[in-house]
Amino acid sequence: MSVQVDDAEILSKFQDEKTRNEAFNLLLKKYQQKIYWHIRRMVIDHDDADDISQDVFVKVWKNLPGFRNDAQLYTWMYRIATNECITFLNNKKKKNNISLDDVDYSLADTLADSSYFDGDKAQRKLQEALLTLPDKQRLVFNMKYYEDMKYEEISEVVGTSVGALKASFHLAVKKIEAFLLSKD
Amino acid sequence: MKRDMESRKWLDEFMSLKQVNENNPFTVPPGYFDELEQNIISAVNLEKLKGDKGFTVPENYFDKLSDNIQSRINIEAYVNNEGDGHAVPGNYFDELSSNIQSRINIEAIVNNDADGHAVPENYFADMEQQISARIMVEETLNEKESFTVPADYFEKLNKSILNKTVNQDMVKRKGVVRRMFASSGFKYAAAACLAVVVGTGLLVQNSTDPVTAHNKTFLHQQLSTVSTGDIQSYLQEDVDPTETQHTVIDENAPVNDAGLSNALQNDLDNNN
Repeated sequence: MSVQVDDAEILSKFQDEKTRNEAFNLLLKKYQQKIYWHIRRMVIDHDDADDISQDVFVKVWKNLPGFRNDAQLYTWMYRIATNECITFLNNKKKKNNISLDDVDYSLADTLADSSYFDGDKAQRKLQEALLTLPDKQRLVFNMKYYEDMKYEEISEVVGTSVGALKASFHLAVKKIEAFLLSKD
Repeated sequence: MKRDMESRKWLDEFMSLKQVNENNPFTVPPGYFDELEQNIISAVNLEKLKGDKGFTVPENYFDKLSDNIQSRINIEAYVNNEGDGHAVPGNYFDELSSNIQSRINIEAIVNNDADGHAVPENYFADMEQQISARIMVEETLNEKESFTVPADYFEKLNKSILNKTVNQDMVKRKGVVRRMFASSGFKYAAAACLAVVVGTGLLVQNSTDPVTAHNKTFLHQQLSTVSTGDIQSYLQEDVDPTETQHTVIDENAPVNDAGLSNALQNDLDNNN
C-alpha cells in the first residue's frame, strides 16, 4: 500500500539529519512495492527479487544525499533497480556458465516451478514470450505494459532516446504476438 | 495506478496480446511487504555501521598487495616446479630477499652519483664530522706551542752528532798510509822465501833419524804386535846361530815383507 507523499518533502526531510530516518521510512512506504515488482518481473524468482530490492534501497540510502534533482526521484530509483537487475542476470549467466539464450530457458524453468505465480495459461505464455526478448527490451515492455510509464520516463531509466524506445517496444510487441500465435 | 487509456490504444493492433489478462500474475508471501520494510531498514542500519571505523591498513597497502601476492605466487610456483630438474642453491630463497635489498641499496648509491663514481655507505654523513674534527686538530696545531727550538736546530744537530762520533775515529786513524803491495820487488822476495822453506824441508826429511825411519817400516809394525817373550823364545829354540842367514834387518837390502810373514806363520803352525 503506497503512501502519497510528495517527493520534494521526502528529499527535504532527508537533508536534515534529525528527520532523515523519518524521510526514508516515508520513501520506503511510497516506493518499495513499485521497485519490488519492477525487479520481480525481470528476475522472476521471489527470493532473488527480495535480495535485489533490499540492495537497491540500501544504495538509495547511501546515494540520496548526492541526489541533484536533475531527474525525478522515482526514475532515479528505477535506474538503480534496473542496473541491479541487469547485473544480477549477467552474474547468473557467468555463474552458471550458460549462454545468453540459455538464461531465458533457465528463467522459464523458474517460472514453471515457482509457487508464487498465480497467472492463467495465457499469462504464463506471455511471460514465456517475454523471456525470449533481450533483457533491455523486456525491461522496456514491462515498464510500458505493466506500469504505463511514459517514453520520456522510460528514457530516463534506461538511458535510451524516446525514438529508439518506441521502435524497440513495437518490435518487442510483434515478437510477443508471434510467440503467442505460434504456441498453444 | 490509474491507467491512461489513450496510451493503450496500441494494443488494438495486437489482438492476441490484448486478450491476455492485464492483471499481475505474480504473487508474494503473506505479509511480505510489511517485513520488506523492516528488512530494508535493518539492511540500511547495517550499512551505517560500515565506514572508517574498525580495522585499518597501512597506506597504499592494497596498491602493493597484488604485486606482493603475484611475487609470492611466482616464487612458490618456481619452488614447486623444482622437481622437474631445476634446482637452486641451499637457502637461496632465505637469502634472496637480503640479496635483493643489497642490490637495491647498491644501485641506489650508483644512481645517486652522476659521474659514475660510488662512495662508501654513509660517506657524506661521516664526512662532515671528519672535516670538523680535522679543523679542530689543525687549529690546535696552529696555536702557539709550549716548546720551541732554535732556528735550524735539527739540521745542526745531525752534523754535531756525526762530528762527535764517526768523524773523530776517522781523525785518530789518520797517518801515512802506504800500500803494502806497491813494490814489485816484494813479489820476488816472497818467492825466494818460499823456495828456501821448501828446500829446507826436503833436507830435513832426508836426514831423519834411522830409528824413526825404521819404526815406520812394515816389519816393525808387524813385530810390534808380537810380545818380547815370544820373540826370545823363538830365537833360543828355533834359530841356529851357525846358520848364516841374512839378517832380518839389512840396512841396505830391501826387506821381503811377504816372505818373512810366511816364514813366521809356518813356524807358528809347526809349533802348535
